[in-house]
Amino acid sequence: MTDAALSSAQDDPELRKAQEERLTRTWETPKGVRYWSAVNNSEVGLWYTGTSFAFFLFAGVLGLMIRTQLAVPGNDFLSATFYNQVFTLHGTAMMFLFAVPIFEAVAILILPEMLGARDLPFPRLSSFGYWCFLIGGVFVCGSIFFNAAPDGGWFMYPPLSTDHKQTGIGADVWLLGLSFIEVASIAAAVELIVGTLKCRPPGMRINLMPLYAWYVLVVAAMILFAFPPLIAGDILFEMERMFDWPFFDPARGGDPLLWQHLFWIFGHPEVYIVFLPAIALLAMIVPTFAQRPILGYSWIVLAAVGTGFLSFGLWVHHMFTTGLPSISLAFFSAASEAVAIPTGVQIFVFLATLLAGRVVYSVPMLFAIGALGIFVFGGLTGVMVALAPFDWQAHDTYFVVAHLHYTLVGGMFFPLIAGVYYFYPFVKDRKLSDRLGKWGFWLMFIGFNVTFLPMHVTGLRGMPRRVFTYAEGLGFDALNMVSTVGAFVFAAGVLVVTWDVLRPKGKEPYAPRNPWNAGTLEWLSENPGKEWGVRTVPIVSTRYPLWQQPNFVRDYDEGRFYLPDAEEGQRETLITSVLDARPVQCLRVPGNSFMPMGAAVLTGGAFIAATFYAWTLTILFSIAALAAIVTWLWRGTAVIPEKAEKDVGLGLKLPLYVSGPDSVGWWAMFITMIGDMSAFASLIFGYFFYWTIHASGFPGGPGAGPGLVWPGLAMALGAAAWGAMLAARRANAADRPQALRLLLVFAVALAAASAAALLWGPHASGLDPKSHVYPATVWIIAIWTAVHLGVGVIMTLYCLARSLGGRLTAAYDIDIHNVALFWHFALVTLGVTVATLALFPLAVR
Amino acid sequence: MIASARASLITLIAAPTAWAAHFLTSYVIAATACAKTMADARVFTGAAWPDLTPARIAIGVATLAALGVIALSTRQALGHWRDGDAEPPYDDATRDDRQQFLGYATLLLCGLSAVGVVFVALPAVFIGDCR
Repeated sequence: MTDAALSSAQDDPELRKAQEERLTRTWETPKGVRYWSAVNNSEVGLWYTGTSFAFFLFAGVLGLMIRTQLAVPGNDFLSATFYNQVFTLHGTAMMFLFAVPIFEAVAILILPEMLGARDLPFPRLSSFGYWCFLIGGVFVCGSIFFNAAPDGGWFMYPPLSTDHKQTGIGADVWLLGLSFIEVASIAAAVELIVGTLKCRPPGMRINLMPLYAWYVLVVAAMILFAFPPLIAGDILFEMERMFDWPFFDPARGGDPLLWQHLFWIFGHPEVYIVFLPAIALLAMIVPTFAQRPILGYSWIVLAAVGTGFLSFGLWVHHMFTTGLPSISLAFFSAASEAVAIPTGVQIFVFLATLLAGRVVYSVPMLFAIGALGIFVFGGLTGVMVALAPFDWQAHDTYFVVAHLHYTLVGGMFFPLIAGVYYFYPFVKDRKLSDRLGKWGFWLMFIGFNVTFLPMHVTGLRGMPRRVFTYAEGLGFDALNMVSTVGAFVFAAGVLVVTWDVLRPKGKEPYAPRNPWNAGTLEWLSENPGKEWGVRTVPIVSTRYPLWQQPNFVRDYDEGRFYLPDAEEGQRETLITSVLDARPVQCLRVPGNSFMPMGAAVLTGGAFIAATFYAWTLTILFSIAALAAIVTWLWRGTAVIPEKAEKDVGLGLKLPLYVSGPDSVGWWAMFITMIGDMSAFASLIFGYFFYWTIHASGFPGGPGAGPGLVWPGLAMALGAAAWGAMLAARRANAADRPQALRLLLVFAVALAAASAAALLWGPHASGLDPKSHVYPATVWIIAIWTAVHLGVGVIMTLYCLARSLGGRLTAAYDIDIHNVALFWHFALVTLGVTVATLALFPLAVR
Repeated sequence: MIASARASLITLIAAPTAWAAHFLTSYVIAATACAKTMADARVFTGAAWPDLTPARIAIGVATLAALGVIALSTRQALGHWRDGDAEPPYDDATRDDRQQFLGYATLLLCGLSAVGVVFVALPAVFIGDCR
């Protein structure tokens, strides 16, 4: 793009100053108490990062307690039962409250500016996710101060964890607290996918996207398929704990292995959900310090996408000792070996880029190189434990503990700290100390290896994990002492880095702009930073615009691209097309509000009340949370703009309101429903899992199931509701509001009747969910589907209210498109439910 | 999808999706076959391990099907890769760069997926029963 083509209106310095003032006012962070109502990505991202790092420090202290207890044989620093809580919470907090959330946190913080966007499309959703995370995390971690923390290990295997005599309320804290946080993770995944696909700057075609964004896309998609199975598992688990439905009780046809499957269908992809975003940071850091574009961009895309897929074929390698047939183990063993290929490709791409460039040595690079060293070591022991016969020997020993810490610390923690040193000037305007960084690095690097390298030997000598102590003279004594010393050295390194991040830096000069001489858009930010995110949404034509586009920074500073102004005082960003980033909409994003926080508090209240089996309170909180969310949606979404189009600069006029597949809301609904379907698929998997393991009795004998009549009626009514909804959408498009409203009322009545018929089936045939796993499974699937029909009813009533309130019209029809989309998925859910519960028993009988 | 002249994120993931489908199919076939034929206390009765031949044949068919889909995706990716005048590393802001980049990345994924499918099929070659 030549200068002449850029906006010459921006030549006037007075105009630019006025624009900057308007932008500053529009994007200003509120002061005082209202600061906590901020929803902008820079605030929410910062809180999110800080909170998850705080959970890391907390979990780190638990780790030190474990090491202290194990320093000498026969130690009584911790009691056996408290030790169980400590190691369970150490793993739980590290994985659920640090490793995964920090990915979301960092992505929310840096992604918008990396994409030249002012914010992500749903800032209030990010804010809601953050508050859910904070509440859930404090609840789970706080339990240990009341001697009520979960104590069944971070993967909570039944029958230990379903047994009320063995485990107390800690198991419920784990299940409900973490389910609540998973909701936040899925919300973040929706936000990040839509952000990556639809909020790129004009010109940033898919082949120019920063590699970080590729990883974010892959990881967020993985979350959609990995987290819902755990949510489904949590539901089954809680139903057993709370109401004695025997999903995992073999005496009544259940099977604890189903939990292991569901947990690890989540748990193994989760390892990559943790690892890929950290590698993504390296993919930004390595080119900067090699001072050249990445070598093998397409190969990184291969690696990211390939790992994303293959990582779903690994879960059973956590279950090699459960007695599955060898052929099943071998499939997972093969996939576990295959995943080493894309993982290795990334490492080679980084090495090649470094070899081809002129490497600038710096603290981020130090951590990056340390990360590669540690991770490769952990990867190699991973190839060892992927071999079933070796795993049979090493399973549940300290060898596995050593392996997983090498992969997670090398693959996630060190890259993260590299990212902290690299992005600190972007976030907080100043550089961190090189001297403290080097001290921190060497303390951590040495401390880490001293802790975990000996554990391989400890494990091979036979020390099992999770034992609270061991007898003298088994060959573990010296090794454990060395590990404990190393752990404290490691912790000292963490403290140095933490101090470097937290120490007051008021007197230090600001870092120069783009202090590392990087090439990507986030380094356009000035120090001290501006709250508007980006001065103007740039036109991008290269992978490293700051390196490769002449006069880019000057044109940017002078606001010569899109949206240089906020004339109406509204927060705006550009929405572009998926592949070619053609501008399609000027999106008004919602501003600061306490609403997401309030909704999160109420939702959290429902989950926490359920932990204590306080049902009245749970119901009250749920109703209040629903009311809060509906109010939030009513006031803050699908807002009708004061004009149809807006001049976004450079002679381009874009609509302010779009609906259907063009709108970000439609995409968010679509993506959410994909996640919802994978949770549902997990329940259906459960049904067929029980069918395979039962020679008889599943499905029950003649007359034992819900029959054909009621499920069939439910199907017919549900299909009619779906049809009424589609007709309503058509009536709205034809601008016939009376017909629209009538059809919506029909849809509500039909859907409610469908849900009732679906539940009446198992009720009428007298299925008792406590008696056997078969009725329990039928009930849970029927309830799941009925709840979806109920949600459909609420959404349809919402459309009706919007129509009556004049907020849903033929021209402004976001709501009805999104609700109709929901109904497509609801119909599929109903169809699969009826086929499974009513038709499948006929087919196998 | 396979017939699309325009490379997209959907054509990009055709081959790994075939891998995933093949993986799941192979696992379900073998696991169901073993679970349904294994008498409860087989270990104690000393009866023969259930034979897996039909399951192995089915897995073989699934493997051929998956490799077939990957071959189609490869052919399509080659078409996309050659469809334009852009130069590697495809980092210009043109339609050709975008198309050829996606074609090339798809090709790489086809290679990985083919290796993955063969890896996962190998157990069915070597393991003949449910032990």
